[in-house]
Amino acid sequence: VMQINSSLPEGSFAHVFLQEYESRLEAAAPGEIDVQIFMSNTLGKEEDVLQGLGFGTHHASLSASAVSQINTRTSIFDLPYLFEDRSAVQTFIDSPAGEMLADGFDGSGMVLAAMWDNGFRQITNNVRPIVTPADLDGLKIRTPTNRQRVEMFNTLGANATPLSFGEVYSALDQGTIDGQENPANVVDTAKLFEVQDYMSLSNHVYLPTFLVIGEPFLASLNDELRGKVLSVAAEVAPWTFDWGATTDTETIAALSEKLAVNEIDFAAFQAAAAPLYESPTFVDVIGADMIVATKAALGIE
Amino acid sequence: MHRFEPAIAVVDRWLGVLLDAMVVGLAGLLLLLLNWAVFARFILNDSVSWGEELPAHLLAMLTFIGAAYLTRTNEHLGFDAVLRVMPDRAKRVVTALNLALMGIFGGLLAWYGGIAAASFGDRSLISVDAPMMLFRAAMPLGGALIAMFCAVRLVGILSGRIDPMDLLPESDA
Amino acid sequence: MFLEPGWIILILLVGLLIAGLPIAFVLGVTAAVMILLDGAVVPQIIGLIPFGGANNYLLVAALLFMIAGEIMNQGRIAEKLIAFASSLVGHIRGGLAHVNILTSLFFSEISGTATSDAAAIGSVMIPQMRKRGYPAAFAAAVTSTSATMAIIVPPSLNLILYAYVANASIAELFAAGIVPGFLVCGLLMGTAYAIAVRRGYPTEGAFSLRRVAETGKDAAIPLTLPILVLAGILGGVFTATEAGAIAAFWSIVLAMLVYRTVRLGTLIDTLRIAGKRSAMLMFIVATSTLLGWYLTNQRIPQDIAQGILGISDNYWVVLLAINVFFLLAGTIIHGTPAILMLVPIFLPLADQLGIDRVHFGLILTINLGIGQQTPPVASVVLITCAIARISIAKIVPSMLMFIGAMLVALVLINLFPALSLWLPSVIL
Ligand code: NA
Ligand code: NA
Repeated sequence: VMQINSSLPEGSFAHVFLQEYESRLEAAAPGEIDVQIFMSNTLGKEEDVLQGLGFGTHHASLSASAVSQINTRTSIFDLPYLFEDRSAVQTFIDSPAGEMLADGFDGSGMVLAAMWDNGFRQITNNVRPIVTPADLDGLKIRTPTNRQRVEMFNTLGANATPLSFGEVYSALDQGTIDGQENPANVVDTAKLFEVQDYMSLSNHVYLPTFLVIGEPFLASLNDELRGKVLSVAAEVAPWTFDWGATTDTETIAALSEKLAVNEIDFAAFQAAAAPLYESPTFVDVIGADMIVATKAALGIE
Repeated sequence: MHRFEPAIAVVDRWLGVLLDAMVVGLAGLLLLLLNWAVFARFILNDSVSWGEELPAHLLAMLTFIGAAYLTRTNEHLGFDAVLRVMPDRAKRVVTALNLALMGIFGGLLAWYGGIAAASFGDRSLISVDAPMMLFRAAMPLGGALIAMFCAVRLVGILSGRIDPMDLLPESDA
Repeated sequence: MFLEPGWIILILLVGLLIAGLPIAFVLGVTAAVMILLDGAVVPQIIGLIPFGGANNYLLVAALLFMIAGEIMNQGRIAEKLIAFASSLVGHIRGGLAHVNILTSLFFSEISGTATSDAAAIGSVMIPQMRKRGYPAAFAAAVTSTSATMAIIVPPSLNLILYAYVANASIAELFAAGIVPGFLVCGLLMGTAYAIAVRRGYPTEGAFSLRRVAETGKDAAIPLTLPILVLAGILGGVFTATEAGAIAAFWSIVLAMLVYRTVRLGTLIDTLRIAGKRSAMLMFIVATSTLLGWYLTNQRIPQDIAQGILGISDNYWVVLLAINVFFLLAGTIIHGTPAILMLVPIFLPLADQLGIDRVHFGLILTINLGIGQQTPPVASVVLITCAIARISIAKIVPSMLMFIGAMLVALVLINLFPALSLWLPSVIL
């Protein structure tokens, strides 16, 4: 039995990918392993699940930003305007920088089996289309409780407001906040289009999901099965990026019927966000070496 | 409590004062923090950074410190209708078994909770610089106190110095 | 022969409960036994999950509403509500019984627990009713049963807890509780009226608009509290926890500065009482989370749901079975452990039958509300009997009619989901 926990809800990208992983792994090792998927943290709070991977109480977890508590190098994905598209993300994963990121899990009791798609984040709001950084001026934008994201939006001139996701819909409805930032898929499933007028394709941050597997669990498998558990995870990755890209395009097309969708001036935002690449909030957490390696991998000077 | 050995009685009294101060203090702190959070968000228009994480961790501290407090004062909620009508001998045996189970469970919380707390090392909360271990330590601490209170009581019950009726949870039948 | 884990758990739970082990430990010990015996489960889980269960922002609201309710209680706020209720319904036959019930409705919009409701209103109303010739048992029965509205009408600790377990919206649940709360109020007043006419209970003078205005002015200040809380939560302006903070703050301001009925020493006592009650609730949450983890890990709730659906998959048959089960469970376990233990098991079933989660929460709450009124476990009755200085045995005959009225409400709410779901659909 391999129990995989995820903080993400049923019907999310994560759920689709885990089901694909389940069917591929069970086909690769018939009768040897029974993959069980537990969405929405039903096996415990994410903080406890990640800790449990090292104890062997939990087998695996498909997590997003929560892994930054374990491996601060994963905060590289909080650096805005770093990835222009999904192929840049895949280039990064296969580069020495991607290896460096995976090495950051050493000593934490878990290994990084794969990074799967989760989508670019987009800004929605009720005031105006965001085209240049000046358009963000003074807008109250909800962010997750994440110091890097808060500093990013404040640097760009917005008023970052950390709020738990459960309150976003009603806070937008009430006008307590002007906008929020999330992948297009979330704007669709959480019905945020009902309470938002504009969606700007800002692609400001790309955040993957991380499939992390506990070392005690891996140690309990024989060599062959362990190899399959890890290799199937890596094989699913390109499929998740293709699926994610196609689904994103479809979702954005469908959303454009429900709110006004616009492109942004990516270069202008990249310039405005440049100071963040020197900011201690980012550099001290991610590590200067990680940032250098990532820039080299992506050909950014 | 006067039937305990004097040294145990002194320790017990001081623990009582300490636990009381912690429970009142944590409840008061939560009241203040949550009001401050509301004030900051609606009046100052500047949300606090520690939002949900800090209050939730403080509530967890209150839970395990309070659980030890309630064990000491026999105030945990229970269903004692059957226990109350048992013959004296059976009452003593069942009470002793209950104390043993409570003590063992407290011990498990202390042991495994201690390992878990230690595993968080020097990590701090996401939203505020407060060591996770400080909050996580409340469970092993509360568990150890529960185990200790129950062990002392168990000795009292087995030696006949404590009447099982004195240890019944809040009456409810 | 080896028993299935589900049966071992059931035997352990019932056995330890009957042996008088405190409920939090019944749940924790059962979970620990199963975890330690199961070779495939790593016991270190005992060190992780209970903390995660207690580490909960939503349930900070429970502590804050307990502080608010206790301050209102100590600050004798109930008296102002009673005077206002008396001006509205005192002229009806059996006047004080109606005053008692209507005050409960007002107070239930401030308090989240039926016990604080019964204590606050009972300590004032029961002596008054006895002075006016009502039998102690009748006075206690009215107080006790009407206190149930506290957990149906928002704010409600039971609904907050259910929202957490079922991952449902507090705002929707709170809105859904309003109509059923008024329904229960109406049915209880109708019952009281029928009894009053037959036994010739007195009225409290003629109706006067002037008196309504005068007492209404006094009651207006405490009634701003539920309005603030409800409007804030239903409007999505603040979270349940923030609403709890505001309720606690506002009640402290009222009691210490406006009415000057509470001093600093009483405030500290209140923090102690609320802190202990909250820890009692939360320790049960913590240990039940550990048991819940084991059940989830073994996929037991899904198995139970499939088992029940295997017997019958008729919507009404299963719903009836669930109600009977909840009613029986409510007579022997308290609301908190009942919600924590039963909801994870029955929710998959409700989902499969297409029962709305909000509607299901109301059904559960009313069942548990009735359970609080029936021995052996009857916390609300116990408090009322202590105030009225009568035994539980004496109060039971007087309660039957009122419990009957609540059962009628339960049936209506089961039959007509719109009673709970219409209001949230309109205002949210
Ligand atoms: Na209420
Ligand atoms: Na009962």
